Amino acid sequence: MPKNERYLNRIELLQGTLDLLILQTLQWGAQHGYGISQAIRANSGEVLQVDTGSLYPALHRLERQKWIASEWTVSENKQRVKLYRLTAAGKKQLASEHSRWAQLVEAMAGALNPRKSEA
Amino acid sequence: MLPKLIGGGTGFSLWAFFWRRRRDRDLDEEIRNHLRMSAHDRMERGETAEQAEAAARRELGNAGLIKEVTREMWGRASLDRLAQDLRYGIRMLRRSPGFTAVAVLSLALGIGANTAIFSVIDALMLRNLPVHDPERLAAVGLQGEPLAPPFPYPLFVRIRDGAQGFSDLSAISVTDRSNVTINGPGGGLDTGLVRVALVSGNYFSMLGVQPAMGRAFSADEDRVPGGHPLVVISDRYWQRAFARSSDVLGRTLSMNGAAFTIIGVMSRNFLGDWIGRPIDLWFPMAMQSQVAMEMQGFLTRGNPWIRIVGRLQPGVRREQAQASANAIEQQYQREIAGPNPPPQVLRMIAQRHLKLFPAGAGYSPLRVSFGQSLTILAIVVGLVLLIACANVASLLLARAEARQREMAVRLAVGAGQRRLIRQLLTESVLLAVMGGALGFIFSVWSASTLSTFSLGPTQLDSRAPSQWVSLDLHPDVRVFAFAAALCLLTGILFGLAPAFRGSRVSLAPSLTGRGASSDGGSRFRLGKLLVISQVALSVLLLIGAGLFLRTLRNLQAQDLGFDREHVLLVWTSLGQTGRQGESVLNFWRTVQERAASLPGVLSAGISNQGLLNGWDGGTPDEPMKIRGRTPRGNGLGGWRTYVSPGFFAAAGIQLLAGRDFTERDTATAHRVVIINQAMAHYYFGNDNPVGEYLWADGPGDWVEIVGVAKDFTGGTPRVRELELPYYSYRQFGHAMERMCLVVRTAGNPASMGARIREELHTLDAALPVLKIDTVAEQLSDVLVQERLMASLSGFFGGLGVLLACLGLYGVMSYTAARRTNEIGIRLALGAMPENVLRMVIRESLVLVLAGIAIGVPVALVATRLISTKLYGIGASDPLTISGAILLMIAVAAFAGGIPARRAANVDPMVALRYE
Repeated sequence: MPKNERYLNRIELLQGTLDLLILQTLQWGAQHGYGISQAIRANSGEVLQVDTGSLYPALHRLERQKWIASEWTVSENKQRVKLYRLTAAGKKQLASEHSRWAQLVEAMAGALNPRKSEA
Repeated sequence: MLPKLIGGGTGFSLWAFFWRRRRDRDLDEEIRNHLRMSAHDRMERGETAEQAEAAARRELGNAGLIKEVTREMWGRASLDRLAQDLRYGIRMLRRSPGFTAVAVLSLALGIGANTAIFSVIDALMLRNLPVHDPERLAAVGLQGEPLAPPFPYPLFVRIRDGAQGFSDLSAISVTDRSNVTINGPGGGLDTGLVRVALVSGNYFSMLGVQPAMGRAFSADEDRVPGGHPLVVISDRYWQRAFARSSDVLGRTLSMNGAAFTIIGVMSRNFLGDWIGRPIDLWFPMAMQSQVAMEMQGFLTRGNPWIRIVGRLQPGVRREQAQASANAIEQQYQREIAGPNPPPQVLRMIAQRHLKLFPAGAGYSPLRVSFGQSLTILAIVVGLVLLIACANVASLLLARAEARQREMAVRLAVGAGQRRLIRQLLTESVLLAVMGGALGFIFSVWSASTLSTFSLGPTQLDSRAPSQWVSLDLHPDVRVFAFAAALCLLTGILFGLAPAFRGSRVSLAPSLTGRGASSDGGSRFRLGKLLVISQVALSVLLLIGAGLFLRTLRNLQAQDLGFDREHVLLVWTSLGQTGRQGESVLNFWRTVQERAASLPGVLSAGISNQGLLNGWDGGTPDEPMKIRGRTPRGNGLGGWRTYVSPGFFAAAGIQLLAGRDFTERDTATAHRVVIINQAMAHYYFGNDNPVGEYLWADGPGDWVEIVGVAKDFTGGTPRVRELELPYYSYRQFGHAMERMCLVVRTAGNPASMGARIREELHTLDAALPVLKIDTVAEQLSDVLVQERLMASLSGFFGGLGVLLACLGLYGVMSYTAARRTNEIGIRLALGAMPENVLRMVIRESLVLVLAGIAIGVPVALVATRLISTKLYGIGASDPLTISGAILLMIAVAAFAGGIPARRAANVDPMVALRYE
């Protein structure tokens, strides 16, 4: 079905980036799914809209890869919420994704502005 | 029940089931929280509660799909999906119990019938003996003969000592005894039938089978004739005669005055190498004269009576050992023939070639005689399974129509088409597994019924193929695997097309309930095709069943040539009691006189062949020699039959010319013979044979023909016209082994059985009475294969028609229901209900006729394959074919008539408002 494929495509498209963003966000402390999406949006100056259809699959996948862990806690307004936090493996992963991202940005910049690198 | 059901087979545990449920609930809550928080934020920004919630939902998107995709991240997702599909499938099947019951039942019958036939085929044709490396076993037989004939013992000795390529070679002979006495506590005479094998000392080590208790014979325990009074008993016999008593070793049993020490109990799974004829006692070959007293000196004489089985040396091919054995046999035959053999004997020797057959699956005459019938039955049940599959497929198709809305909803909430197909396939495999489980139970029960029915506990003559057959039919891994494979295959076979159809749903019309009748025609063409093929297969089955039924009827109605109403056949075996020479003749004379003098008995006679003994002709003997005439042809069949004076009268067989034997035709008198009508005609045409002489091999003398008897059925009703000479057993002293006392009664012969048994018992308590039968009972034994084929093909033919009609009914109900609107308009515009009735019936008749048009030509080709099984009827018998067609049309008209009447009685107003 086209609808279904569209979602799946977007997950693939965003996978690396979204993973990095999630890990980066969780670096500042445990957060629930909605909080993560709001944080990414706010930190990107409202530019990056995180699709919920990608967010939750990504969270569950990262949890399975043991880069993040989750637990149910009770929030200030007495609601049961599921909080995600970064694991030790996740911190390592974040570091390596950071450097990979830096390389990618550099490479992209070089590719997009060849004259500048010649100079 | 549910988690347990999933737990079986998939390696999926109860724990996983609950783990999954918890995670599902967690995910639901997580998404709910997301929505709540999102709405909360929006409300804080000043939106109203409704606005906020709607916006939050909009922003979230398709929650069902998000959950679906998220679940896929959990790993084990495919198992989860399977569990989910299974749960859903079970729910759907439970929701329509009628559909489920019909589908499961028709599959159970189809799978069960196939599994039952397969288990018989497996036991009889496929399964290897439970011996060491069965692939290297080889049996000595003859080129061009599917079944190894018996060989003389001296030939075996020569091959054993001279042939290259065998690591071991054994001789085996199997016979039935019924005069075994168990010595010691709890013992006594066992007058029941005991199956006895005489085997070479190396028999068990050659096969590589071990006794469960004690020991087997050693290789040299068959060297000294009469010198090894030992016996190995089977597990079955240990149970039967010793109740599994642990002190059985060292006890003795007696036979014909000789005592044998029990040295071993064979392991439970080894029943001998004769499939269908499990052995109770094994004796060393050297004890031949003590065990089978009627075959004195057979270890040195040239009579053929043993089978030869050996194990090939590693690396030796069968052909190599065969060449070596064949050379020895040729040499042996030439020595037998003497220094100056006539040219035809030399030709016979030159044409005879030993052949080695693979023997890993054991020896079985049944395989030869019954193999073809089993193949036909396997095809029949295969067709039934196809019909059942087509039936379930059309039921599923109709259901897929009814479930369009459900499918559309599932698509709309985010299920992919592949997921839907998987779901539908899961449901059909689930149906198949349920049908298969039921069918497996059904097959275990029916296979044992089938074997006792078909292979018969009673057929008697030693030359008849199926003597006291019992097959080992315990369902083994292969049978189970067969049933399981059948389940999966059928599940996918009947489920695939409906699954693809069912999952291809256009959303809008299905959800709104519009367009239900617009695209039905093309979609249901598949359903109609299924019905047509069902009808075609059913017609094929019906024609086959009709041919088998008429064959059986023809054979049953055949003139037997003797009195079938008032004759009782009593089979005994005096040879086992060890009587010799004159005392045998005297004993039989007494038996005959005592039987004839019983009140209610008109007369009695004795014959070594009896009547209706099941023998079907076999290989012809040498041509008869008639004095003063040149011998005719080679086609002469028949065994020399030995009868008593009064036999023809007792059996009600008319003497057409000459006289019966009398008390004066003794061993010292002028030798005489009576021939039958067929033989008289064959050798003498229209001349009177009485007074002519023919050559009798036994005494090596010319004997005078004194009478001509009317032809009668000595073997089976299929073979009437054998040319047979009858000799007086008193004159030729040939009354050793099995004899049949023929008793003619005034009233119902069945009522005399007990009285005659009693009389024989008072004459000699050790005389085994093997069987007492009326002609009707004997006939049903002899026609066992025909009865089997007729009843099973009839049953399966009926089943096929029933399933086909169910399919037709389903399709017609469905199409009629779809056309309710159209029919309403017709009725409103003035069409009469009869017109509508006719229209719908015509439509179903078109399907049926199309099926018949395909089925009949196929049947015309297919029945040619069974023509050898038919009797008194052609393979394309027009009466049978038209009968099958009429039956099919009649039943189909009934099945199609119900929906037609329903359509005709539609109220136009209701019909028009239908959509």
